Amino acid sequence: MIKLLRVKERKSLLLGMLLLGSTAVTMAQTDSRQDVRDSQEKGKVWNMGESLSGEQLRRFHPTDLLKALQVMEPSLRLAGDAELYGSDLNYVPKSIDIRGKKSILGTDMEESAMPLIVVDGYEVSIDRLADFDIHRVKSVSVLKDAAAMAIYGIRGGNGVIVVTTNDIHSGTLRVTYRFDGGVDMADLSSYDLMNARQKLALEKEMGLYEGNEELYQSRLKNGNTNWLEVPLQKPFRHKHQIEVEGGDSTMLYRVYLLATPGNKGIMKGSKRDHYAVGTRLNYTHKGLSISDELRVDVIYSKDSPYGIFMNYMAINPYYRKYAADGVAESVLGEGTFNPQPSPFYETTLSSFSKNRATRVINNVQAAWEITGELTLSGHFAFTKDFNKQDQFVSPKSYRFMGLPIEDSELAGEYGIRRNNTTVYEEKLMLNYRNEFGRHHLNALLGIHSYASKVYSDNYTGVGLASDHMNYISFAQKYAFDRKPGGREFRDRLFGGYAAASYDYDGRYEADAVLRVEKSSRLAPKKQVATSWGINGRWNVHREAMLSGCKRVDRLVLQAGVGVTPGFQFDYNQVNPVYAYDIDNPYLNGAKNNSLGLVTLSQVNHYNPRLKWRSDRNFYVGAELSMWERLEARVRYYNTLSRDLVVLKGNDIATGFAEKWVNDGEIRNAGVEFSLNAGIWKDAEGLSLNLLVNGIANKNELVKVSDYYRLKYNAEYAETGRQLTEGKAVNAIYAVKSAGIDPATGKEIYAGNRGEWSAGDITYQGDPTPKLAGSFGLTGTYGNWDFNCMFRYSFGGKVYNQEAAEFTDMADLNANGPVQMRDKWRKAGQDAKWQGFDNRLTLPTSRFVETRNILSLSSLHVGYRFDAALAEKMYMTGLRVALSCNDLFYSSSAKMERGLIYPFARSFTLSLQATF
Amino acid sequence: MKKYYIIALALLLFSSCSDWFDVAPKEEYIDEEALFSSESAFRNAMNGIYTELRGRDLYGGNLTLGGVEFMGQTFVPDEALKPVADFNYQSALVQGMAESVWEKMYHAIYSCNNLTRLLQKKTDVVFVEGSREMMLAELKALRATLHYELVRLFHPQVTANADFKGVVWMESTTAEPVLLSNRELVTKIVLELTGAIGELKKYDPVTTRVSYNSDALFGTNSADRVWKMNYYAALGVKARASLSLGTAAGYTDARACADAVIDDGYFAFATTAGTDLGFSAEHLWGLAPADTDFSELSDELFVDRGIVLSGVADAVSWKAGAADDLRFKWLTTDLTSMSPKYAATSLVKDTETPARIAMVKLGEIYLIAAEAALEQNDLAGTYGYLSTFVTKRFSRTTLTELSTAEEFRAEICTQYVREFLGEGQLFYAYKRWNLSSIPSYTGGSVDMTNKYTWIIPTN
Repeated sequence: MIKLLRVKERKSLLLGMLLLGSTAVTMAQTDSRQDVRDSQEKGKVWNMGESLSGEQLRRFHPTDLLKALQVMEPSLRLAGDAELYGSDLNYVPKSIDIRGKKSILGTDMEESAMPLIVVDGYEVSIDRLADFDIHRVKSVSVLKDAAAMAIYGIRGGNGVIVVTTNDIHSGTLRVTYRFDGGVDMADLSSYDLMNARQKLALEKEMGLYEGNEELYQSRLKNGNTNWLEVPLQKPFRHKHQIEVEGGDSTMLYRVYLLATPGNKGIMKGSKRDHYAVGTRLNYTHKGLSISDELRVDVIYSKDSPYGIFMNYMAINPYYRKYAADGVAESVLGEGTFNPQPSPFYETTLSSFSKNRATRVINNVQAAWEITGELTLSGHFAFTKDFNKQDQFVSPKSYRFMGLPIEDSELAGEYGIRRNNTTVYEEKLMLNYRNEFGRHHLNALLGIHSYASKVYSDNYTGVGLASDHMNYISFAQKYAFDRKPGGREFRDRLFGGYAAASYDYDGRYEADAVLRVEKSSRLAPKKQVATSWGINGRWNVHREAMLSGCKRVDRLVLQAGVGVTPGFQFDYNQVNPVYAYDIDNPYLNGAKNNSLGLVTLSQVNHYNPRLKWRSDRNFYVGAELSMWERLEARVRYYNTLSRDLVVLKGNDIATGFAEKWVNDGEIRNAGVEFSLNAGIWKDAEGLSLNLLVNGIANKNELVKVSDYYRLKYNAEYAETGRQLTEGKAVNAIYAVKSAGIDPATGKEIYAGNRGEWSAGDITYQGDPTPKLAGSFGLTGTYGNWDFNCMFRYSFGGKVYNQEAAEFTDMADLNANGPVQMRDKWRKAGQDAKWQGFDNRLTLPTSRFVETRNILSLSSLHVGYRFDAALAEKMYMTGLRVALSCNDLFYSSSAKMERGLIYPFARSFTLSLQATF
Repeated sequence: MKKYYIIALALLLFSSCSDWFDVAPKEEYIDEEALFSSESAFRNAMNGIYTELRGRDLYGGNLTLGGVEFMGQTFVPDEALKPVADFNYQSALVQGMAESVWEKMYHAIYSCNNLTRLLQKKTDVVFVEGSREMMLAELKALRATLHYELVRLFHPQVTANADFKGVVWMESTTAEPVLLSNRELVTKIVLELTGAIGELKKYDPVTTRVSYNSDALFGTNSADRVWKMNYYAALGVKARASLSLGTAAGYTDARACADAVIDDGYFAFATTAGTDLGFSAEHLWGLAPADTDFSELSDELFVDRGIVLSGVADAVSWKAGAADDLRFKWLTTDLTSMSPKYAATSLVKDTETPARIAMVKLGEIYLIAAEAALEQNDLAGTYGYLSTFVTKRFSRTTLTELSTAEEFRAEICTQYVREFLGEGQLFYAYKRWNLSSIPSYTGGSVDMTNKYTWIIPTN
């Protein structure tokens, strides 16, 4: 929401405006300068309204902004596959849900619910946020309610993450060097696989060595190889950053350099080296200020040749990496009853998967103070990202070993994928501020234009004759039945907005925002979207009745209401698209028409009047500070997402049996709270604070068209997903299990005749946790600061797909978790898991478990050297810190984590020296 | 009281730059704006409509050999096709057929309306002179024809129940379905066809003999026009529809249309067969099958599943009475099976492509003319048409100028049975005459009360 700035503060306003750019939203910080000063007191950790300071975030994670943000902002939930990708350096979340799912599963847009990310007023992609240097961050705000989001319009429909970077310090030249280095170690605590002795014993008991005692003995002799450790390493990574800044009231400058040359991951061969250079220049003269920021980032990344971590779970521990002659075999156990392709062999070849990205951004901002009350400002941002990915699979790979002789020339594969993004974004704003006695008014009028073009192409060549021919030029031909691909996509938006903020005596505040915009991503007959928000705030602590009250420092009551739009469909749901049917000409090979009469037809059905998703939101909240020690915030919100896109049956005479319509509703309602309590403060300078935050969200599918619901349920029954009005949209469904039949080892279901039937599927639980958030201690002692933060989640249900996959459907010929020994083996056995002949476990209540999670996300200690001591080392300031992150993780549902790339415990030493 | 400023709404600065927002992504499919910027896209889209029609769900199966033909009782069905021949509308097979036909036919109608919309919208695209007008008229005639095909199946005969409502008229891609009564709908269809015929006469290469072919634009030689809805085909369909109206005006119209086709002399009956067993020279309009798909259907029915002619065709006594009838070329020498007509060896004469699926034939024109004349009590005229027809077929008939109306009627019925073997037209003739019972494939007869109308699928 927009807050007022005192006229006295105008001097720093210009600078502030330059650096913070765009909207009044980002300008607002506190409601008094007093608080600003207080919060800068060393060690005191405040949440300033909704914004989190960079200082705080760095204490929760020294390098990863998204991880640090998740500690303080429990409403941020990364996409489901984040659990699979663990500590993969090259992973970028495909979607981030803020407060809960807002789309009906099964439609394309579900996969890409991404909030708007704004850095210093211009939009950046999630890739840039994932690589964002946390040291540059001054503050981050996550905007979740309509009153705050409305000004960002439809692009901010899924929430807005507003990042503000550090101001430039004026003065003589100042050099700051920052170092973050450390070691990572894999966290395999969720894995409990059988070792060689156990696996062999199991195989022997199951009779696999009948008449083959020799094989058993030779395998016994191989000892034990822990295949999970094979792809792992303990990398030492280091990151260096230098900032040179200085200047005076007319000119400020900053040069920024970043290098992370050794950024390796815990899987051997994976890395992400990031280099960046940036400059920023501010020029102020009388009423005019201009600033320009230019940054170039280059990222070289490689994926581990060891492949997917999960593959190592399956390798039998009695196989060794190398054969007796010291050469890595391509097939382990060749000639026996259970040969397995060796993932280790693949790493001895020269296959690779690498990526090179170059990102350029230039942002020019200007502000002109026309009169004392009126200011005109604007910015123009130009972004260009270029990405090239090369993947080479060696011809000696196991993958090509099955090719017949005549296709041997098709071995080896080289694929190239290129991606190019160009964005132009402009904003122009007119701001009016004035005060009349006790009334303060701030009004803003602005226009915003955004235009982006994304284009990509890809192609794959095959036929690279040798392991050394590792470039596309060596390919003989294009891969069979894999045609070149590509995509060109443009996204354009133009909008205007008006905002006003009124404050009476610092006690009562109200603001309102209205935004209207036209976007190329909307349907042709409904291309103009509107957003609005109204907010009210009562600073109760300013009231006469409470101003004398010593105990209550701050009491603020606020409420807001608004409607924001969100994108929810693709181009081909609202426009007709066509395709040629080359294989189906109308008349082919005829004498007069040797080319045949080519067929072209429309390939989709569309609704040009499809509307965007409309979120109606209201919230009420309170902030209370008492005794200068306790700060509590609580907020209740209720968001109803309407006009969700679903399918509806249609009169066939129109040409199509179904039609896209706006007929779904989802509600997300809940409570968010945070508490910061000073629990200890003594004369020696030790102070301890307890931090607790959490969110309790309830998601409900309010309405969905019967046609779509039935169609969806029929299609997704066997994956355990269904739609039921009144339940969470991503709830878990399965058939109730009646246990495992001791006679056959097969599962019996509670339905009709004991068999699995889609008609017996019932609701099993809601994956949204009842309460989730963080808690921990932060404290300072003299020059020391420390914190210990846990993250918790309790009450959500989960379908333990890992247990179903790795134990219930386990393959006796491969390795797996120790639970495999408890599978059903013979009649009369009361087993917990089905027999070895089970190949498919359909959704059953047996695997629905409650997931309560507790993890130690950060353990941090920092020390700031006294100025005097620092000067002795020729520095003006020196800070050192040690952080341990993701040290332990415990979950009530035993599930393997990091199946594609394992999680890591990281230990980082950080240094900040200012010269 | 302090003055408060009211914040004005931001004005939308959207000017004529609304094109700036019209951006289509480039992926595997193509957007309309980019695609329909040259004539070839329109021609290809037109081909797309005919490709829809020749699929197994419509004329490549359900509406011909694989379905409606068995309703005419001319073949003995095997177990799989028995429900069709027995008019078992509740069976899964026939219900499935009805659903497919209803859905696919309306999709084809949608495609016609869509292409019409595009032709009308994209006025800036350069067409070969006359080509656009021809396409618009062709689409108009085609749309009316497709609606009439639905009427022929899902409505009772107009004279039996003039007020029946079922088939809806789709005027455009965005229009609401219009529900008209049986007679009103058929009248409307005839009117649409009349309008289309007027335009086609001026622009169709089959009459003007001026082709619209150009570099990379094919298919509009006058000889190629028979693959698509053309002037003569429209006349033929109009004749069919007018005949079914059962009014004096209808008969006049029907006869006039038939005469127009016959007198122009563009088509002639086949004199020898050679490899062209479909007698493609007689087709006013035929659909190109999907490569050998129709031959495969024919082989599957007549060779693999051994479907034979039933007693209705009465091939033996037919052969005895008219041994030289050219139509025997369609049958095997033992007169039991129709496998030669659509076999893979039966090829269209000029193009050497697999046999066409006939939509409107010269034979039908003659028979329509004969029937119209008969209804007008012009027995001489009826005799004229019938005798010419029979002669051209190298067949024989017992008719003379003095035969009675009943005898003429019987002869017309016999010729319908023989002329349209495998083409699915006999059932419609029975329906038009509203016969209370028809000869059955079993040798007896089947009572046709309530059996003529296909059941419209509920959504």
